Amino acid sequence: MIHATGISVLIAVLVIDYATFMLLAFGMVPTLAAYLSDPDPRKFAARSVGGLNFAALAPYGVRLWTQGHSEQALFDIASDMNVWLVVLLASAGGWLLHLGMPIVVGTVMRFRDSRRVVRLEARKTALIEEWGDEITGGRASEAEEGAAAS
Amino acid sequence: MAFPQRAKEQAAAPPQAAEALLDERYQISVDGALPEWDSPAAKAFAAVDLQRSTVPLFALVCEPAMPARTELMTVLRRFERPAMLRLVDWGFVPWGEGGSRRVVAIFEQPAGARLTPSLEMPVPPMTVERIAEQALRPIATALRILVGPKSAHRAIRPDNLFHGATSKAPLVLGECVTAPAGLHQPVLFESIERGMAEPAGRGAGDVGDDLYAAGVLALYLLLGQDPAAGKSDEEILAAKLELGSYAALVGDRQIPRELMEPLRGLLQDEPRARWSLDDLDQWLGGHRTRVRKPVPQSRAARPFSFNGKSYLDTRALALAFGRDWKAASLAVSDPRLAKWIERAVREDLREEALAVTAAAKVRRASASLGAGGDSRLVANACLVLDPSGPIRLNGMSIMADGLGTALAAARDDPARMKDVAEILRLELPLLWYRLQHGGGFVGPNWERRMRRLSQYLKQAGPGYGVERCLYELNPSLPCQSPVLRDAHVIGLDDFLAALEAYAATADHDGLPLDRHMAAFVGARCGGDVESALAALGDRNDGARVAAGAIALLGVVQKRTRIRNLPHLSRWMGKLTAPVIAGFRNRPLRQKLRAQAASMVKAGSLSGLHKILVNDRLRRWDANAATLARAEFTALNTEIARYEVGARQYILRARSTGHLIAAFLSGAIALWALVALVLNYVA
Repeated sequence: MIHATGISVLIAVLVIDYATFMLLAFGMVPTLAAYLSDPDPRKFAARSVGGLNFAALAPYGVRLWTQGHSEQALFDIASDMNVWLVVLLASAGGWLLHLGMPIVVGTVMRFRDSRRVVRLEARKTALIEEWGDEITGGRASEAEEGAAAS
Repeated sequence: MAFPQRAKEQAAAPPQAAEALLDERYQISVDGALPEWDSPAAKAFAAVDLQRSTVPLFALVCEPAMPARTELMTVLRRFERPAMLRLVDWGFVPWGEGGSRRVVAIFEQPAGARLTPSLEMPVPPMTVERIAEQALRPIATALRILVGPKSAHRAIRPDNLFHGATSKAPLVLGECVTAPAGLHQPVLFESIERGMAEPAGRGAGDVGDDLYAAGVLALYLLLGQDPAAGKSDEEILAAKLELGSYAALVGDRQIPRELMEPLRGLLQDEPRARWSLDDLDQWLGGHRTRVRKPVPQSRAARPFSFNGKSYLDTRALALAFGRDWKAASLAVSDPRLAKWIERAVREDLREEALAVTAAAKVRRASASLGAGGDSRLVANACLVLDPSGPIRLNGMSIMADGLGTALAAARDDPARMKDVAEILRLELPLLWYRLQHGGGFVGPNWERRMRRLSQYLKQAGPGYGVERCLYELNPSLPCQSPVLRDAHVIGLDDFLAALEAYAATADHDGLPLDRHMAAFVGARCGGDVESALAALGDRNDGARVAAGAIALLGVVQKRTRIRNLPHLSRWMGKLTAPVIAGFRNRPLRQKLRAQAASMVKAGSLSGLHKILVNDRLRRWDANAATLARAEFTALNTEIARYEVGARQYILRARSTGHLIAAFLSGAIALWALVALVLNYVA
């Protein structure tokens, strides 16, 4: 679906304006690279990089249009190294986001789960204090079996 | 179950003081024995009413061997003119060196001496008029008073009569409360059926038995001597059975015509044909009395031979069977008996009789009938042959309403008690009752009671068994527990007070209840304590036994007026530990411990009962423990799931992280686009 949407957008842009199309085609290369290098079929890398890539490229697209979206305007923008720096940095930011967010999420998950386990253990302790050891009655193996089954 | 021992302090009690005091009012002189007023089961001592010393009194101190008729004492105490020896008051007094409590009855001294010290000693014969006015009239009045409480005197005999103030004054009938009914009656003065029973099994009887005794007394007074002098009890019975009581006692003697009518009426062997009190009153009033035709006795045309003797009368045969049980066991299976029974037994009893002989036929065909089989067969045969007679078993002979007294008489002999209880176990009273066909001298609830007693015998736990039957059948029998015996405990108030006193003697451990105590309480409290007794008998669960003991005593305290039992509560407090440990919830246990401690301090066993023996609380505890266990398991499952899930963190975090990153990136792109558009538009 993403492929179809992207291609449709590009075709539409090509039809509307050749200069904008060229700006997008070259400016979004980092996204293409991310798309091609991502082994995940859902292509999250392309999405993460693409968004920031586009966000960085968008001001230059606006500039192109405000300068009459001519070939000269396109050449001026394309020859400006700062433009490529911004675009590449933004794409790098996208890669950072793509690679770093799982670590952050994992840390949060681990933290949340460990807090939950601490609460559960506390509840167990309270139950033992209230009812004595007999409620533990050799149920550990049953618990593991239950967890594995679920 | 622990059997508490007698307190050492009781054995070391100080010797008897010179005087004993009853109810702070009646002073009894321990050294003032009055043997002329002795009763067969009680010794007489001089007594003084400290509030009203003008009336001469004497005290009868009952021997502990047999239970006194204390319920009747309570009734007779109310009568100012009972037409017999007047009972002023009664109660319990510590007596003897051990200081054990005895029943003491205070009587007004009769104006005259005893008519005769014994049956053997003759007295001056009396005329019919004197017999009527001086003997029968006061006896009738006394019996009329006893009709109200549905009690019989059962001690009408010459040595229990006293002269009045003058020679013409009415005789005074003696007391009838210091011994069980009929225990000391000579066979001569007993009807045939009660005469065939052993003394302790003669039964409470009714006014008909008193009227019979009055008839014999009238004959005695007429003759001035024992009408059966020189005859043994067996000979007297045999003569009565053969000839009928009137013919056997009167014989060839010339009886004044005026006395013939009452003698025939009062000595009628068939209870339904015997004179009633109204008939006697009619005669005393000078009116003629309707003569009732007696029901003919069961007699055969041809004799049945047993032990070398020939019998035409079914009752006589039953008596013979009862006396030789072994021979009777063989005779019952004799086919000739069945034929003889068909001809001899009353038609309304024939069906049962033939059932017995049919069972005997089965016995002949098979090797055995199981435990008690032979005995039951012979016992059934005796009942069918003599349905109005005593219940006979293995040489015992006990009237249906005498089972209680027979058990009480046997209470110090476990083997004998077991024998008497066998009558109940074999449900012989129920057959006896069926054979009465709705008649009989027992009350309407008697059959149900006998069934209940049979059930009690089947239960082995404390509070049941033969001990329970003993107390159920003897409402005034004191508790026979070795601990309480000397305290003469009859009611629940006494029971608790005595147990409290025992608890105060030492720092006791174990259960405070033995079989006799449990049975005593069970009989006195009825259905209220059945669940407690069931718990008490649970040998596999010590906590339940302790709970049962607490419950039992708690119910007793609730029933009595005694509010504070500090020593007994402290003793029971030691038993609360296993009961509380039976609760699984620890905060609840702590709370119960605290509450139990405060109940112990307050001396409240009923409070302890309420706290600890609480079914609702126990159910809550059990249910909550189940839920807690389930919750614990669920917690373990969840924790294990987290631990298993931890291995998949990387995968989960990666996909979620990428999703979030893509979303963020898209959001940034959208934000940038919107900002640019707005900027452009602006």
